[in-house]
Amino acid sequence: MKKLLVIALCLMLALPAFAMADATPITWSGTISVAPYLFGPWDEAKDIVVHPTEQLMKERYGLDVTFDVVFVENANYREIINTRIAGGTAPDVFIGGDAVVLSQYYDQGAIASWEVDFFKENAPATYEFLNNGGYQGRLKDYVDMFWKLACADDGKMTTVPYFDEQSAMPSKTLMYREDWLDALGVAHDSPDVLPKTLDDFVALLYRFANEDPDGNGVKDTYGCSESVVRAIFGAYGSSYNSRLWLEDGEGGLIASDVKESNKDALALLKKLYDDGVLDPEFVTGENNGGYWAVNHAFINGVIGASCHASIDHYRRPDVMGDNGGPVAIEWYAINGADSDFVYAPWPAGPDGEYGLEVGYPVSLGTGYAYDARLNDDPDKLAAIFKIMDIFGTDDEIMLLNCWGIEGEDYAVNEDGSLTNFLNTTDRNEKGIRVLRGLFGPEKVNSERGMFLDFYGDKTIKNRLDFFENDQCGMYRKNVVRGLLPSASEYNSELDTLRNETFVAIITGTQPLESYEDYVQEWMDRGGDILTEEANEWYAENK
Amino acid sequence: MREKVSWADVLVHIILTLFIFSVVLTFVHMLVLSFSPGYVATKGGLHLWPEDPTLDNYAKVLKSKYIWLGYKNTILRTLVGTSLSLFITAMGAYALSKAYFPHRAYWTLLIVFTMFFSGGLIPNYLLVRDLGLLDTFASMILPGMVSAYNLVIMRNYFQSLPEEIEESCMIDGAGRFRTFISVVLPLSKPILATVALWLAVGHWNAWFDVLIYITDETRFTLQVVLRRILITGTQQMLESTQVQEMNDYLQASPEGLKGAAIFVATLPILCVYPFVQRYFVKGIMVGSLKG
Repeated sequence: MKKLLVIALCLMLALPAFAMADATPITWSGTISVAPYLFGPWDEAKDIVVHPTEQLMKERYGLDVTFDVVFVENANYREIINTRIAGGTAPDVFIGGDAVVLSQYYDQGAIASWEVDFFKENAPATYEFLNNGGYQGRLKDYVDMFWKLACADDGKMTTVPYFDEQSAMPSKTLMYREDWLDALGVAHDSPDVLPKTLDDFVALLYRFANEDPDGNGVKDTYGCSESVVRAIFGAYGSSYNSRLWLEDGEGGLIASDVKESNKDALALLKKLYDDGVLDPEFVTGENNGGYWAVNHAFINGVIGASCHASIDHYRRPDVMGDNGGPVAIEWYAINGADSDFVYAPWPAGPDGEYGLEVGYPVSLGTGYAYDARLNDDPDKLAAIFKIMDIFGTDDEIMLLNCWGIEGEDYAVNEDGSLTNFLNTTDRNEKGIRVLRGLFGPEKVNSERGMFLDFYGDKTIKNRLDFFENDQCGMYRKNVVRGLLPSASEYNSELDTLRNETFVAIITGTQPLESYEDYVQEWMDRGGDILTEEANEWYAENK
Repeated sequence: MREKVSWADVLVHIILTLFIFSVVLTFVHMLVLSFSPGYVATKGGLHLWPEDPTLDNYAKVLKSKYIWLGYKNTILRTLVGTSLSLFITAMGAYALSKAYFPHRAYWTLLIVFTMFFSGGLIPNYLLVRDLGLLDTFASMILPGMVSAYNLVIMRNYFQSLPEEIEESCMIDGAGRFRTFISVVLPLSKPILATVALWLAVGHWNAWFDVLIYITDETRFTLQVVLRRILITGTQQMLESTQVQEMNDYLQASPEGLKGAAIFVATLPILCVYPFVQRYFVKGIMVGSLKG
């Protein structure tokens, strides 16, 4: 009977919309509750999406389903969801979180799991799209990684990830203040003429600090702050505030926390700090509150270089024909419409390394999980995946759910991409994208869905063009993908140790020579276990 | 006759003035931001006078349906919650204040005992769920209706009332309840006002129980709506939603809007405070003296 249903469903999907009305109805019926991150509640009175979708599901696919959109506040999401899981009142589809959290939930029996075949059976189109490497098969090489991310250690799926090239793109961009470069007579016509070696870069930072680039006759400028500290660690092939597992050149892996070159980075930073080139307030970062990406120190002319935000945040108005990226808007409001910022290449260190770190193009998104009670109700779980497939194959339902109504909520551009008219609060209220989690992780897993959401987006093109420039794009990756067995036990303590030691050395409260002691302590406090596990992982997955 | 002013007094006044200043400045700063367009906040620094004043922020905040719904819910919650809590607490405290109340020490101990423990979040949630209170107005009021601390403070105050007044009342023919309502409560205005203020401020500011127990947006209180406005975009979300997150920032909550929302939500309680304040100090003193 079930097989028949599946065949019927496949047939329905293959048929054009008008023929679907007479197809065999799906027998499961009921309510599916879903709780994505919402910036405001869904307003049933203003809804143009959720109820019409229910209607369409019924007319075309015989699926008698009611959607219940649950608003859970983002800032306390985990706490609230945990309480509801314990109380047996969790929504059917909710955000579990990253791989660590999902595996914890799975071990505790808090979320549902299913065989890959079950998914393939119920969401054949989505399965095929994913198994072929996503949009135009671009990420074929990462299909294995995809299934690894989707499945728990025992091979059962616990979530549906997606191919996300964005996480494999640099998310931060180095920038200079144009007015300061002009004041110092530094050419900046193209990224190629800007400093590309660490020495030239540091020399420029010194000039920012010492040559009064803002021309007010007071020595009140610095070269850089926290974000550039990260870039300098990057130039030494390491990381300032995250743990990367990197090849050690001898066939094994080493944590970036204890790389030998960190000492050189720290020595340089200590010098910058002592010479008044590094903002003494670097520890608290460049953002003074509010939206995290706004780097107040840079916008207000305290520092001359920053890589706190991305090229998207600093998108110039001409890219989209709007007011520009959110941080660019703040910039122009403070510095004037004729002022500008200069995108720059990363400074390369002694071994030619540069940039920060990037992820892999497979992502959990926000990591949707499915309530454990669905294990006892496989028909409902099947319906959830069938709905996922409908979103991927039924263009009308997809457009309605992701974009709203043409002309009112979005416009179609010449190249087939769409321009959205609404802000997220209005979208939430109208019901647009409130069923995320049902149509896949944040984005619809289909050619068309990915094109509209990502590949056809002008912001993305803007990025890709800039990354073409020499030393602007490639970053290093964490070699170990996924989670080391003891990571959750030692990670936070080792993070604290690293962060505190690095700051202490830069600000001079600990001598540079104490770096060796720190490495020893790092190893003693669990680092050696992690290193061993990382190398075991590497031996297996190389 | 002029009082002698000692150096210590001057010093204390200076310190206190500075302290008041530090409190008031933040208010003024926020008030000014609420009347300013977004870019003023990005400039940083302290703002004591609006440049380019605008009412846009207030217009946006007051236009939001959820602010008004939140207001309604919060006011309802504060009124109902405070009066119920106050009445029940007072009755309990009155009973415990009587030396002839059977097993008084035992009952008092039982109540005080709860001050040292808390069931924790999840057991509380399970309790509320099993009582069938999830997603109801009662879940904001019943679980914390009687606080042991308030009860003890009130009991202490009642104990300080002379027994003879009540006796005279009973001689006139009043029963226990009548005595309590007509004599004890009117004599206890300071402590009632104090506890009422605590309760009211508590209800006005409460948000966590709403987040946990309530799923229906139309029951959300003002603080929950306010929090949502305030925290948007302050944390870096996953990269995968960066484009969306940027749009949110563009259109959702610049600093000025946050300032306006804060003032809209705080003003009522600020207005009530000065009038209840005199009871506040008095009540605390009297209630604690004979503890």
